[in-house]
Amino acid sequence: MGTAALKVKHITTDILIIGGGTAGCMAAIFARQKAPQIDVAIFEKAHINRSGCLAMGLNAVNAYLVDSTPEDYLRYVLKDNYDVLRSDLVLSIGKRLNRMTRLLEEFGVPLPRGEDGKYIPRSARSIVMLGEHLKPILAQTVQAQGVKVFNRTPAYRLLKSASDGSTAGAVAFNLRTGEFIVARAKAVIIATGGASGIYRPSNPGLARTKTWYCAYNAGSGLAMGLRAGAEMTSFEMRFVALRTKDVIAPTGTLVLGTLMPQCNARGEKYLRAKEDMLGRKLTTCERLLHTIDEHKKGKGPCYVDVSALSPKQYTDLVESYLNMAPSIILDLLKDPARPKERIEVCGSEPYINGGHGMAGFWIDKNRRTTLAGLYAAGDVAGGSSKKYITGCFAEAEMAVEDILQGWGPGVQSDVAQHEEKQAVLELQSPFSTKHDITFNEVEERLQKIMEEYAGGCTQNYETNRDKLLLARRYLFALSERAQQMQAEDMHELMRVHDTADRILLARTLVEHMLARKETRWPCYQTRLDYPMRNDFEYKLFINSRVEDNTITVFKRELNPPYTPIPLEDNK
Amino acid sequence: MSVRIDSRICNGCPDKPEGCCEEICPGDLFFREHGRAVMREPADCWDCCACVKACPRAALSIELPFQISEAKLRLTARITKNTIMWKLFDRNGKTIATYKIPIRGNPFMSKLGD
Repeated sequence: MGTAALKVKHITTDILIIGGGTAGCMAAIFARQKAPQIDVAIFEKAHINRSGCLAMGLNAVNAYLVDSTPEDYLRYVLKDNYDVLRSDLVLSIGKRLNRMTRLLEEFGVPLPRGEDGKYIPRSARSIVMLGEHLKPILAQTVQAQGVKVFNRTPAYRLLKSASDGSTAGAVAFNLRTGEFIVARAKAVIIATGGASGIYRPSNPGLARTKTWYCAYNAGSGLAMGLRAGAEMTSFEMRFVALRTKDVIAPTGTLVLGTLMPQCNARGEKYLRAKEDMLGRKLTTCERLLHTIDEHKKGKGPCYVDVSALSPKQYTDLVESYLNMAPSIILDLLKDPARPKERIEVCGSEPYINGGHGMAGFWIDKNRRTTLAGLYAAGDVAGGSSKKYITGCFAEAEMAVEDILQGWGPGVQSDVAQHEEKQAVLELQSPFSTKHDITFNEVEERLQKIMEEYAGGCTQNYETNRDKLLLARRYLFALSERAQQMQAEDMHELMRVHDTADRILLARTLVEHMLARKETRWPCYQTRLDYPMRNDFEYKLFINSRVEDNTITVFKRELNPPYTPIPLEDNK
Repeated sequence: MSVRIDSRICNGCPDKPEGCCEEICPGDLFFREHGRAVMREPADCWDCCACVKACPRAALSIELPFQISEAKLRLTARITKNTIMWKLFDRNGKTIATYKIPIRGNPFMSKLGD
C-alpha cells in the first residue's frame, strides 16, 4: 500500500477521549450528563462493548470504603506505597469512591446486598459485584448518552495547536476502512490504560498471551504523551501481580473472597507467620516478596489452600471466577470428581500501570497533564496507586469537571497542516516495501532484553546498575532497528505501532530504574546494588520527559510545589 | 489456540457486515474466510471469552492451550437478557457442569432499607 492509496478523514469534536475502557467510558458519560450541548467522541482501539481491562468482567469493587473514611484510605495507600505518592490525588479519589460505586448500581450492574441491606464486604475496601456484564453495561450507557464512538480506531499521535501549542487533537486509523482519521478537539482526555507486553510472558507458545493485565493495552497513550513532550512519573514502580500460576487469574477472589490461607509447600502459613512476627499487615509488594523468598529457601511452590471450602462455597468460588477470569475453571475442575484444593500462586510479569501502581502521566489535582489541553484519567494517570475501577471513574469525573469549568463556545483549535500530514506519514510508513522485520521478532527481542536485564519474573524482579546500562544500550539499538518494522494490513499496522510504543516505554522505564538508587518497593522496584530503602535521598518522585529525542529523568520533591531536582547524568 | 471454532456450527454470520466474534474481539484476531470465522494468531488470544459470549450459534468455546493443561476441557457461554449460562464440557463433549449467573438488573434492591 503506497501513499497514493492513503485515505484521510477529518473530524471535529469538543472533547476527544482516547480509549473507551473504564475511565474513558465514564469520562464520556459524565461529559454528556453534565453538558448535553457538548460533542464528545471516543477513539477506541477495539470494540467498546468488550475492550480494555474489563473485557472479561470483574467480580469485586476493590475501592469502596466499607465503614471507613477517605482519610483512612489515604493512610492505607501511603503505607502500602512506603510514603511515596501524591496524597492530594489519592485523597481526591477517596472522597468519590462510594458515590462511584452507587453509580454502577444505577447503571444496572448487580451488587449483592446482605440481610442488613448493605453491600457484601470482602475486606475493609472491597465488596462483591456480579460484574460479568460491567463493560457492556458501561458501553450501553455511553451509547445512550449520544457519544460518538469510533470502534477499531487506535490513536498513536497527538496534535498541537499552531497558535498556542496546546493539545488540539489526535491522529488514529480505522482497522476496517483503512482510513487515517485526524480529529480536532477543544480538549483531549487520554484514558488508554497502562502497558503489558513489556516483559517476557510467563507462559510459552500458544499460551504466551495469558497475561494478567489486558494483553492489548500497549501503553500507547503514555507513548503518545512522551512523544508530545508530556511529563511522566514513577515508571520504576512497576506493578507485579500475585496471581494463580499458569492461568494467571487474580488471587483476591481466593484470599479475600474465601479467606483461605496462603501456604508454602510444607503447609506453613508463611504470610500469616510473617504478619504475626511483625505485628502488622504486610504490604501488597511484601506478600509477593515473601512468596518469592519461600521459593528461594526451597519451600516452594506456594499455594492457596482451599480444601476447607464446603461444596457450596467451592461453587461460589467458581461462579465468582466466571465473572472475572473464566479460563481458570478449566484448571480448577480439571478432574471434576476432585476439584483442585491447592491452587498454586506466583508473580506475574511486570506491567506499567497507574491504577494498581503509580506509573503514568504527571498530573495536577484536576487531572491536567503538563501539556495544555491534555487530561489523563485511569491507569494512564500516575501518582496514585490502588484506584481500581471506582478510582478511575472518579478521575474521569474530575477531568470532565475541570474541562467544563468556564467552558465557552470557543473556536476550534488550529492545527498546522504540515503537522497533520507528518503524523499520518509516520503512521503509515510501516507499509513501505523497504521495511524488512516483523513486529513479532521485535516484540520478542524487547521482552528478552527487559526480562534478563531489567528485572523480569525469572530474575525474581531484581536488577542492578550494570544490567540496566546494558538494557539501555540494547534497547536503543532495538529502537533504531525497529523503525524498519513492516506491516501488510491494518491489523499488522496496529501491532507495529503497539510494539514501537512498548519499546519507547521500556526505554523510559529503564531510565527511571537507573535513577532510583535504592530499593523502595521490593519486587516492583528492586536494586540489588542498593538493597535498602533510602528515605534520606529518595523519598521523592522520579519523573521523565522526552526532549529532542532524548529521555531526560529528574527528581521531584515529595510535597507541593514538587520542586524539580535535576540529575547531572543518569548512570 | 485457546478458542476453538466448531466449523460445523459456525456459519460466518452471513447477514452481518462482520462476524460477531470479529466485531467484538479486543485483540482484533478474527476474520472470515470461505464463510467461516478464522483466528489469525491464536497465540495472541487473551482468553477473555468475549467471542464465546458473542457467538449467536455457540460455535465457539475456550480451552486451555496444551502447554498449560493437557485436560482439554471446554467452556461455552450463552447470554440471555439478565443472565449468563456457562457450560463446561470434558474432552468427549460430555457436560460436566453448568452455571447460571445474573448479569444485569438488581435482584438485591428489594433488600434496601430506604
